[in-house]
Formats: sequence, C-alpha cells, structure tokens
Amino acid sequence: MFLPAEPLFKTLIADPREPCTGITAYGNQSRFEGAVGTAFEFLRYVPNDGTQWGWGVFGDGFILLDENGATFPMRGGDWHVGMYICESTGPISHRLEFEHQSAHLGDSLQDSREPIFFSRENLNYVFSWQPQEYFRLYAGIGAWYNMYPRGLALFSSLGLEFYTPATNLGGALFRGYATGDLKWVQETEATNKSFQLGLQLKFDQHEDRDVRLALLYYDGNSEFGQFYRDHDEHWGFGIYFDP
Amino acid sequence: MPCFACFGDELRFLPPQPVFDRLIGDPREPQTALMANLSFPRFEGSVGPQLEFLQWRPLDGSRWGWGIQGASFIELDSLGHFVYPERVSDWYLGMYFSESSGSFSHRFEYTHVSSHLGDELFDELQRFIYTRESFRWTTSFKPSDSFRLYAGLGYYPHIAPQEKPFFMHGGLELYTGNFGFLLGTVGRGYFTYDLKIKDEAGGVVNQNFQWGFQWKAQKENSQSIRIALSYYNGNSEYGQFYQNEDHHWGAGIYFDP
Repeated sequence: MFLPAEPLFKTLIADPREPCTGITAYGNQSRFEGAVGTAFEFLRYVPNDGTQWGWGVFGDGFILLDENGATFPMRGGDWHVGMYICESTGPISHRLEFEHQSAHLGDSLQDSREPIFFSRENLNYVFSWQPQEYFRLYAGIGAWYNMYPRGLALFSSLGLEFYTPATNLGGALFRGYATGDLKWVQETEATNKSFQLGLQLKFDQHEDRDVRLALLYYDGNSEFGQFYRDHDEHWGFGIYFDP
Repeated sequence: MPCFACFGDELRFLPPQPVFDRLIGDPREPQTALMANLSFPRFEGSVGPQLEFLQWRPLDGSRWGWGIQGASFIELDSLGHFVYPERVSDWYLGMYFSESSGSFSHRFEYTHVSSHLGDELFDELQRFIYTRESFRWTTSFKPSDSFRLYAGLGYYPHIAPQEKPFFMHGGLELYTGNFGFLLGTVGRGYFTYDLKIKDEAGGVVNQNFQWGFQWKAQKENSQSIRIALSYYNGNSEYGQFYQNEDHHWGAGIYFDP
C-alpha cells in the first residue's frame, strides 16, 4: 500500500518529543510551548503472516515562548526530522527511527545569552505492547552520534498509557487518559519525567486523529536543546491535535 | 461508527480531509517539505499540519468545515560538513472556516504569525519584533481536475512593525492527466503560480512558480508526494527579512497528508 492514510505505529502521546501539534500553557511560569509535527508513511506492507510493516518520515518543530503582555518572545526552538520503519503484529509493535535534531536559541535572548551549536543524530528503537484498548506499555533505547556539544550517547525511555472507556457525546467519542513517560539521558545523567491527565476526543475509536486536553507535569532537564543542562520543572495545560 | 445527524444532514467530527483543498502553490500554506535553494547555499524546511474539527454536510450538497492549522518554516545556511545554522524561523497558528459547493470553495482564516531571527545571525543583525494577525478570505474555482484558480483579500488588524494592513492574493494550478506509474500508483505533472501583493515595505509583489510531479496511490486520494522545481521572485517570505528582496530557484520534496 502506497501512502496509507495513517501511520502504522501509533503516536506515543506521553512522549513530549513525539510529533504532534499543540499548545501548552505553563501554570507555574509565564511561558508557553508550541509544537507542530506530523508523520507521513510512504509504504505499508501487509504479508499473509499477519504482520504489517511501515516506512515513513516525520518532522516536528517545538518553540518555547516567554509571555510579556500581548507579546510572546521566543526563548528557543527545536527541530526534529527523521525516517522510520515499523512493524506490528497483534498487540505488539516496533519502531526503528533515524532522527536529526537541531536546537536554536530564541531571538529574545540575543543580547543576554550565547547560543550553543546544538546538532545531533540518533538511532532509536521502541517496543510497544497494547494488550487491550485501555492500556499500552512501551520502552525504548537509542544512541546519539555526531553530537554537538559532545556528550555521552545513550538514552532510554519507558512509558505507560491508560484510557477509560469511551462515551459517545454529540457524535464524538470522549475518554479520559493518563500517561507517564520516563526518559533517562546518559549525557546529563537526568531522568526526565512527564505525566499527563487528560481527555481525548475522537470520531471513531479506530482512527488516530484526535484532540486532547490535558493537565501535565514535567520534571527533569529541559527538552529544549539550548537549555539541555538546565533543570526544568513545570506543570501546565495543553491542547494537542494528533493528525 | 458514531455519527451525529439531524434532518438528513451530517455532522462529522475530525474528518480525514478538509473541505478546502490546500493551495499547493502558496509558499506559506501549511505544508511539510524540504527545499534546497539552488541560487544560494541554503535549505528550507517546513512542518504544517492541518486538522479540521467539524465538517457539516447539509442535504443541499454544500460542505462546511471548521478547523485549525499551524506551520513552522525554517531557513538554514549550508556551511559544509553537514553544518546548517539557522537564519530565521517563522511560526503560524490559525483557525479557519470553509465552504464548498460544486466547483467553488471558500476559506476564511484568522492567522497569527511571528518571525524570529536565527541564532547564526545574532552577531551580524539585530532582531526586531515581527508579529502579525491577519484575516484572509480566499475563493477558489476548480471546474475540472486539471485547473484551479483562486483569489483572496487579507487584512492585518495587528501588525508589528507597523505597515499598511491590506494584501491581495491569487494564483492558479494546472495539472496534466493522471498516468500509471510504479507498482499501480499514479502520477501527474503540475504547474502552479502564486501571487501576493502587499502594501508594505514600499509595495511588495511576491511571485512563486512551481513545476512538479505529483505521485499518489490512486488519483482519488489526497495523500501525495510532490517533487518540484520552483522559482521565487519578490521580497522574502520570512518576516525578519520582509524588507529584503529574494529571488531564488529551488528544488523541493513535499508531503501532502
């Protein structure tokens, strides 16, 4: 199948660096995050043995903004672009990604902070197990190379997704969800923790497109590359659109 | 499948395709693409998803849509050895209403845009605050699969730096017939022309020409890959350089969802 409508590997909605489109308002700081992201699957192979295979590309951009009245000066921006192959058999799916990341200091800090050259590539693998609709577990491991600034290369992740049963309201399906994502980064010796409690709205439970409203908490080192050595703890409200 | 219907009308939540087809010739339409500048050692990247919340299909054959769109555009220098420092990035976020009846479709958008100087240029240029909100109306006429014409008007209720607030926009799309391509897929050639006239920076006429190949699984599908050669002539589309002329050739690959 050429250019299927949706990617085979379902988005890891708990991972704050998974491609998605959304806005997050920090609750404990005058700060906002914006994200635009998408995945595009080229090919889907469905052999007779019950497996499915996918190959595609993805890209996303993340922006961190201060708030100064009606203006939102930019603190930082990160870009990710990559390619993946994935496989799915029943409740188990796998994804192998090659990803490039670059991070850029926001122009509001032009006169107050020196930008660092932050650019790198990684190869990462994620295993996902979703035995039923209400529960998903995933784990991943990866390694950076061509790292600027130089650092130790390994990272790993572990996450959970829980969903309530869905309710039909006005033609849309509503369900609650809770997620947790842990990311260990050898370079900073940090474990970044991200938790979400939210509502997911879909038209059909078998479609990936959704709108999510969530309360979130993040504790760890900043996900924005220009601040990767800085501790970041925040909670916030977000609205996310998974295409 | 859940469906909300009243008096035979259909209201669809999160439909797979928006009512108003993307303007593929407009370099600032939300799009996901990688482009190489053939006139200067530069690259551009963009990510631009669009999500329609609601689609209403009354019995009279018209379709109505309400959704959001966001996009980010980045321009990079190329210094060799896989080093691509950032010159500028622009970010768009907006909401739209659209309608379609037969050959005509319309879109009314509200869009916020901000532009940010890339950190590569911090030692050379002083950034300025570039932020705008705009209302834009676009009418599209597509009498056949091979031809589309569109035109619109826009107004900036908030614009910094201060400039005159009106702009006009138009363009066309021409397509060849579909032909069989690899492994049962289809392809077709296309040409687009996009024109923007803005009453800013002393008067701006931005033109974009694109010659390309569109590749789909089936001709009815919206998902496509496009490979195109383009020529841009006007002032830069990047806000931090909106007063600077920009003429360049480019080659790009575009992923239409």
